[in-house]
Amino acid sequence: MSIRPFPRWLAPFASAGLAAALSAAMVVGIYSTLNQIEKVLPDFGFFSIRELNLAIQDVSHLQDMVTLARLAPEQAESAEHLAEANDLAYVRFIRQDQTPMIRGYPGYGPAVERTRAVVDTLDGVLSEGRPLAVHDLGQVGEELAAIKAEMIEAYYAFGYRTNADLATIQRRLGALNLQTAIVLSVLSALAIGVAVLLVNRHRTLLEMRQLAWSDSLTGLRNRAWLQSNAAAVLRNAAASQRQVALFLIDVDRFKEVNDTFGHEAGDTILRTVGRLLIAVGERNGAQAIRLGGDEFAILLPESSPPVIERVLGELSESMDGHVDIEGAQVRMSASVGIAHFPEHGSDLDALLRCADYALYEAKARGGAGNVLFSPEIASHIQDQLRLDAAIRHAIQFNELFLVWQPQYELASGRLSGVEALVHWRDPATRKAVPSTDFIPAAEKSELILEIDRFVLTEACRQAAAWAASVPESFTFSVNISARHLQRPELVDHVRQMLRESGLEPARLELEITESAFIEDRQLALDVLQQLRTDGVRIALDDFGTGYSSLSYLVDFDVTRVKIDRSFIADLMVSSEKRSVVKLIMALAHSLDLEVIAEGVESSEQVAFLMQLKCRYAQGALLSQPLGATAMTHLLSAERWVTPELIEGARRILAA
Amino acid sequence: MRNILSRLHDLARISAVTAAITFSAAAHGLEPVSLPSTEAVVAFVVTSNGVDSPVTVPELEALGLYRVTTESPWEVGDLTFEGVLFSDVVAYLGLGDATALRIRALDDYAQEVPRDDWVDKPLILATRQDGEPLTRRTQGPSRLVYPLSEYPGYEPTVQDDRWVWLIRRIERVD
Repeated sequence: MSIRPFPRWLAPFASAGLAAALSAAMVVGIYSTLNQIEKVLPDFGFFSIRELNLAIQDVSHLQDMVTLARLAPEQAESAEHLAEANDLAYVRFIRQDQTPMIRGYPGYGPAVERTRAVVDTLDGVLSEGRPLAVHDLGQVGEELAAIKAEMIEAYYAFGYRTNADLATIQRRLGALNLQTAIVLSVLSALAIGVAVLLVNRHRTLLEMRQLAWSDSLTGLRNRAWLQSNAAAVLRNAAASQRQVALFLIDVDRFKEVNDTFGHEAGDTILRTVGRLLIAVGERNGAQAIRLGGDEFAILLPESSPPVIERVLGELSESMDGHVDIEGAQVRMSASVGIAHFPEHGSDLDALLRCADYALYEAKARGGAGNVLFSPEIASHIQDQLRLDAAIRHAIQFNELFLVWQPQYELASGRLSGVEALVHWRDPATRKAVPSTDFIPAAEKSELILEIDRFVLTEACRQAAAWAASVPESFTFSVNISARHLQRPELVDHVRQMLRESGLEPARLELEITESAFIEDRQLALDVLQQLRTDGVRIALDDFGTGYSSLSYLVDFDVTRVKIDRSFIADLMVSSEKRSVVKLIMALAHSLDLEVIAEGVESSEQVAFLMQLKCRYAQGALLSQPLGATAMTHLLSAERWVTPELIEGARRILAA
Repeated sequence: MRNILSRLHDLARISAVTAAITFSAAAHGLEPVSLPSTEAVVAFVVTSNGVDSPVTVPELEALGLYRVTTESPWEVGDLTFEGVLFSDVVAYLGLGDATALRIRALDDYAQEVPRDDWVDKPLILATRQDGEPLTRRTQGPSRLVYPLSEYPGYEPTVQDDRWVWLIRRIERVD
């Protein structure tokens, strides 16, 4: 047997129904009892008892006078007394008989007729004069005795019945009292019960709402709260012409910390962040929210530039720093994206989107900073996203391919190596898009890693295929993004590529742009060190334009320096640039580094470089980048073709 | 303005005096009648200090007869009685200072009537009904009648019991 649980929502209705039924029963009970009492009451009255009493008295008195007259029938007094008593009987039973009140008495009816008859008889006896007829008097006496007995009996019966009625009424009233008391108690209990249920329900609903709106880990409000309550906040702000600010706060590199130190540590960090945000919120009249994962928000209902400044200040003060996790000092920071109502959006979704863009931008800028949304950011990010999608697509559908830029040894004029450049064949236009058009954008995201990996894989493969056709000193250069240097897995990938392709490590040169910012120098150093140990060459690209050129040279153990094209371009017109190039050359020679000049365009430049003993050069005008097939042909040609510019330089120098 | 006020004052004064004089007479619808005198039947006895003094109907009627029509709590319909003002009777009997009088009927039914009921009130001691002298058989020779219709000031229930008929004796209570 299964027991169906009583549905809770039914409880108030069931109670109400029960209450109504009980009330109805009580009303019916009271009504019927009072009805019964009412029926009994007319018989219950002092007047009726008294009247009956007096009637019996009159009959009794008449009987006595009749007895007296019988004993002294010739006495005038006897007749007088008898007449008087008879008159009294007349008044009560005949004259007064018209009163409905008296007529209503039980047992009184028959007595009236018989007494009337007696009165008439006595009238007759008295009219005959003295001595009074004793025989008739005797009969009348007996008759009066009988009447009296009957009346007394009726009187007693009436009394008994009245008593019984009273007792019944008393009982019924008692029962009614009890019933009423019970019903009222039950009703009160029901009322209280329903009230408690309702209050409880209300309170439970409130609690449930609070629970539904709070985040279990940190105690902050959760996304659901924001979804439910933001509209009201915005409405109020609109009504009072105030600004509302939404801060989106993301803990930087939370995933890495979580992976490294475990989920407990991660949770601790989240809780700490939650506490900090609550404090910031309380100080500034804002609500701290955990949206999920490591994403937090602060909703500031009455915001103004100074308040925003203050909040940002407090955020950076409390959120940027070091956290002690298992004895290790881990640097923690947060990125913040801010959007305003009504400027940046008129509802929560719009605000979230804008703040999200701003947050994305803050992350892209390296983290530990805050960005205020602007439409430019949105369009910029949208472009970025579009490009990312396009690149992802390109990678997936093999729309990327490599072209090769020849590098020449100036002295001999022969090919010394090639640099791999990645192009994208746009399927729509079937035109090749050069790397300069999409690599910079790709570098802003993780996609550059994918591109790098593709290039590495493809270049190694291709290089291995060409290896047989070229001298041992021939180098194959591949560009690696600075972001990639932060990834220890780069080493593994390079090793794997070398292994799979069978390419000699010394033939592979990795080019790193010196201008790129390296966040974790030590990590980069480790990576490069390992690669150098394997025998791979390292070239510093765009040399002269970057940050700490000299320390890079030393620390990163490079093998070659590539002079940036900006110096080469103005070589003939700017003496400063010529001086700088000379310096670079001297520096490189003293450190025993190779030098290659980029962007060589004229024989004069070549001649100058040859004079400075710059060993290598590359440039579009020296030779265009070639596709794999063309390069294969070039490499397998019997004779190396000396480029025109070098021939020209020789001529200049010879002159 | 002053003239009107003084005239109103004069009117009030005159009415008060007139009212005092005419109250006993025709106040509250009591209509004085004049009827030929009847037999010298003893209406009741007045008992004081153990001495019973009989009072006859003509004696009473000489005090001034009035006619009154009223309902009765004990009988059906409107009844017309002729009788004397009980306050006149009380004065005639020298019982004017009594706080209450006990009125006893032939069957020993007795009621105490307080002076409130007769002082400046139209309480009637009836001796005739519809012009006919009351006999024993018609609840006479005298009976107490409260003119309820004329004087709503009388309280039913309390006064109902005081409709004593077949009056036999009147004596003071105190």
